[in-house]
Amino acid sequence: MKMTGAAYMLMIFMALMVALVAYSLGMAHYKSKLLPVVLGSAVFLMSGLELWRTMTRRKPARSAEEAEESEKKSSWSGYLSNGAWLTGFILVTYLLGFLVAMPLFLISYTRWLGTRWLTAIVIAAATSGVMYGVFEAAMQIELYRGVLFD
Amino acid sequence: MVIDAFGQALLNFLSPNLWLFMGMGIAAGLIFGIIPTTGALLALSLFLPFLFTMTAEQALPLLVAIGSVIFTGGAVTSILLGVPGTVPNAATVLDGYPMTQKGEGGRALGAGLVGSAVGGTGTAVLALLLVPLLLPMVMTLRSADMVFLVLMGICFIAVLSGGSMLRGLISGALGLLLSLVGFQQVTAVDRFTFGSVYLYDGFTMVALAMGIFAIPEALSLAVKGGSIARSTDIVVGWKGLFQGARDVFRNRFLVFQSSAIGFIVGVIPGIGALVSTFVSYGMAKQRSKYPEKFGTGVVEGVIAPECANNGKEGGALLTTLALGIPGSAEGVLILAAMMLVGLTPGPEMLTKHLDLSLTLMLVVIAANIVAVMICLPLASYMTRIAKVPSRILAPLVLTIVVVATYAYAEEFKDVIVLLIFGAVGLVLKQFGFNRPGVVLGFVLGRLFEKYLFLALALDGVTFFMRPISLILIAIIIGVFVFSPAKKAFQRRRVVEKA
Repeated sequence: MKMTGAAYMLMIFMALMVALVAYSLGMAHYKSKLLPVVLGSAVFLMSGLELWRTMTRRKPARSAEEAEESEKKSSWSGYLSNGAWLTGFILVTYLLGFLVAMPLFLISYTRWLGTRWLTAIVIAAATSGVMYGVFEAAMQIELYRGVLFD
Repeated sequence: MVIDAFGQALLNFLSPNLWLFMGMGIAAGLIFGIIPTTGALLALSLFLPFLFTMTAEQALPLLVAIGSVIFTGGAVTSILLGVPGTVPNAATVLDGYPMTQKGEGGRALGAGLVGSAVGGTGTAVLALLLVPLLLPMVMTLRSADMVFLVLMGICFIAVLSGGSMLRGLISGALGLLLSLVGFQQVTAVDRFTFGSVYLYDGFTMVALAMGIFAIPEALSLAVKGGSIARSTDIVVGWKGLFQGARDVFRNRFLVFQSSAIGFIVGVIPGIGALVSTFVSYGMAKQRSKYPEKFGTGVVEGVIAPECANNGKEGGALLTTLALGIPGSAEGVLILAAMMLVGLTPGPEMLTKHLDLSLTLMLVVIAANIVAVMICLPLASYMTRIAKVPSRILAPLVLTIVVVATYAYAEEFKDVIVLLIFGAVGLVLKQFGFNRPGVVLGFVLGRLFEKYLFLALALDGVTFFMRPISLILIAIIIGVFVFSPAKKAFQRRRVVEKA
């Protein structure tokens, strides 16, 4: 038996479903709790079954398993670093608003991904301009200004 | 009724406004089809936030046109650059690219594009003809039947779209659970809002769909890096293009067979275009006088998959409109779009909004023809789009996704929800869960609950004792039996071959 990422995820699902069913049982009307209880229990059972299947599945050959693990690890690290950029973009937007965060994100992120300075600046300027034109000027939507400037 | 609706559909179809939005859809579909690793899901989800400014007559032709032509764009990259523009175009590469390497790129392209157009238009015409036959059946559906129709849709998407059946079902159920957040109309009770006014209306569909589909795809682009397409410039001559077009009309039976496979696969929810292309490629090879040449650059190997992948759209649209069950993962986003523009997916589309449904089928026909007219002369220039490096594409897509999600309701909390569901979508993708299943469960969840309590109120706990409901239950059980049986059969064949 081996604990994989999917196994941990299924365990999280099961824990969440226990909490969801317990919370739903406290609801006032039977019509409100019917679906949450039925669906939550179903997901709990199916997750348990899938967890058992995942953990008892025959192991692949050692070399193939190692290759798969290392490939997953490298893609996870890539997703985490790129996801961190996205989170940073949203955080800066929350503080300073889209009009400041957008060009900052585009310049720094495209540079980080390996684009030349000039290309990064042109892309940032053009995209920010188009976004401003489409949303603010054409659609009359005020882009979020951020908690510091609002 | 049908004739009146058809007349109205023709009038709608001739409106310049519709052609403007359809044109935008064709352009977007071709661009996203040509750029490898992007695909229909990303293209359709990127447009969702903009739909609030549009009417149903603008939004749906835009999205349907994207779905109709995306494989046509993908064929260009597959044949000329040897890289599948979209996943279902993979079968086209097998013979399309070898033809280009032999100097027959023009012929392959002509055959692929004209084959796509014939498959796409033919099956859309068939869908149009089937509407009068489906209409009486759809009009007999009651709330009880709708409960099982929704369940059937989720089960089909969860079970048949590949991967683990259990993970597919967990995904569908999770989607249904997500739809329960917020104010419940039946009892006026708010569920899982934890006192937040923002959650009173539930999660915003745009933020959830963009998070689950678009964010993981955009991050994938950034992680993979580089430019997927090789930098070769190919000149395509008219002589070759005409020869390819003639090949399509010379292989009439192959065109019919492949389009029919595409249509049938499209009608059955959850199977997807990839299956239709490889099945029709396999059948073309089986029926060929020279099967050993397949894979070395034969024109039939291009015609078969291209007819099938565009042919799938007619069938998929019919199921999506008539029953509210998406024929494919892209259909899930069409359903979401219907809800966003105030339509109820399901039989109402063939009763109250029949003219709009027929208009959409005409859009499939027109989009296929226009796309080929654009691609034939411009194909060699269009391949340059495929060379846009992902280090530029990924930041652009992420920026558009975040800004557009905010703009949908001018609510910054939607951006936070986007980020959360982006992480959820990424985890689901990495661990082989079924993302379309989650979104479909979410889209249809409220309808499911509404029909369930309506059926219980009208017919009591034995509400399912109706012929149609029982047939639907039998189909659902059949899917559960068929899927493991098919896998066991395939495993046995592999063992026997070994």
